[in-house]
Amino acid sequence: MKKQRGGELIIVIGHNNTGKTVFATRLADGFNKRRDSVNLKSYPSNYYKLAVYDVQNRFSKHLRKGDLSIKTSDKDWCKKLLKMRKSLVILDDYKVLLPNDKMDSDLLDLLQFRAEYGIDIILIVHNPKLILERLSYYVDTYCLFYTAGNSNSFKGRVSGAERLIELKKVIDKEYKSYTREEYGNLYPNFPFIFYNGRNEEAKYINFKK
Amino acid sequence: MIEEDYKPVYDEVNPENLIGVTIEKDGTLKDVEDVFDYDKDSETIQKEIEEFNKNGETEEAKESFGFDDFAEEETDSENVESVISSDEEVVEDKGEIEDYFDSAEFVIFVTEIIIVFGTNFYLKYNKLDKITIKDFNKTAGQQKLLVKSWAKVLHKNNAKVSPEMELLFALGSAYGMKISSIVDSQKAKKYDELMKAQKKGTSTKKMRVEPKDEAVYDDSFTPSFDVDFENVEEVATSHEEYNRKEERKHDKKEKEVKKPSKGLIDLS
Repeated sequence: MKKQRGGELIIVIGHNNTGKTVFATRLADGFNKRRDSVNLKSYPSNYYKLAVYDVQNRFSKHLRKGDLSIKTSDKDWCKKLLKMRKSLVILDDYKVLLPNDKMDSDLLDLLQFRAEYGIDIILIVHNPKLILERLSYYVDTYCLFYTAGNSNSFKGRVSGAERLIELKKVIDKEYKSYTREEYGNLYPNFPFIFYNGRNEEAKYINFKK
Repeated sequence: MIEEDYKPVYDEVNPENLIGVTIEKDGTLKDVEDVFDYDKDSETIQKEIEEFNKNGETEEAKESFGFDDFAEEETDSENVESVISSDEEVVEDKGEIEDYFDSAEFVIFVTEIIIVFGTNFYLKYNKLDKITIKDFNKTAGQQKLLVKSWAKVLHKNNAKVSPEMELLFALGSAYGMKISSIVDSQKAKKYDELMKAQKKGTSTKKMRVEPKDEAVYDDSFTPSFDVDFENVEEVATSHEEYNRKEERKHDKKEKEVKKPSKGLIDLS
């Protein structure tokens, strides 16, 4: 049987001003390049769409006609996302969209059918504690920026917590090797660790040589 | 307990916990992007694309897909120009706007005739001067907008509102403002004439009035007002004015009854 496409779900964890959103905008750039290279007329209109929940208004330049900018008041955002195919969804501070931290059936559908519909999802959070427990069942790919808080915050929130706790120590050490000004000058190449739990690979990205 | 559990964030890495993890220290952003594999499609996607290639996109599918919200919001928040430019792109991408000029000209001409007829009916009712089709001089922009709306009606492209409604709005805004300005200017003109007449102490209308039958018309009667309101009845623009005029008429008649005219014999 032919291997089906994944429909990635990546969680980006990091403290404020560590470069999470900048990193996500670069992924959005990559997505836009991808859809530029495709003849969109040969696809239905719900293909190759970018959807963002963008509290900082950092993705407005990346959105094109027909893309979706989710509003906090929008209750049907999941239903809209479920209509997308071969698309990228970026939710910055996604928990705001979930009243009472409840994952409704539409969101669970989105997570379950993301591979079938070709929807890649990137969730951005400040702290591992903000990852809902049920969500952690679906995630095995993380981008780890410098994160405030202690190691315990990973427990029960991520799969392979022991690994991520160790990797957190690595990225924290890297972050602390810069002054605040030096860190700002790294823009847009901020250091982070990309950990893929499926094949247990950790890649240190933009680290000092 | 919490304090005991707390560990400072600068703990040294425990290599034991990373056993089995492949670590690459020279990773790049491309490593992350490579995770997104766009070349493998699921069965659902393959079926949908096959159906799309066979039958094209159905209107139902378009309607059920409500992602135009963003484009509208963005253009609205920027400015109206961008809305127009995005519409221009839609129509002009097809490279056919020039093809619609002839038919659009005809439709606009017919519409103008209908509108002139309707407007003149309104003006006549208000006892104002009629207008002609020449009063609808359009700017190049207005003309282009009308043609574009017509092109949309013919082509039914991705308009947000129905194209017919857009044409109606375009016509309404183009002609509605024109008509209202014409009517206003006419009313203002009439009002100015009336005011001038009041200042001079005589009404131009009064001068044109033929003397009435002596039996009814009393020369000896001199009204207390300089203006002959009876003859400028048509410029009464409000109920108040109309009521005031009626009262004056009534007073005048009462005076006429008290003062017998020349033609009548005083039986007392």
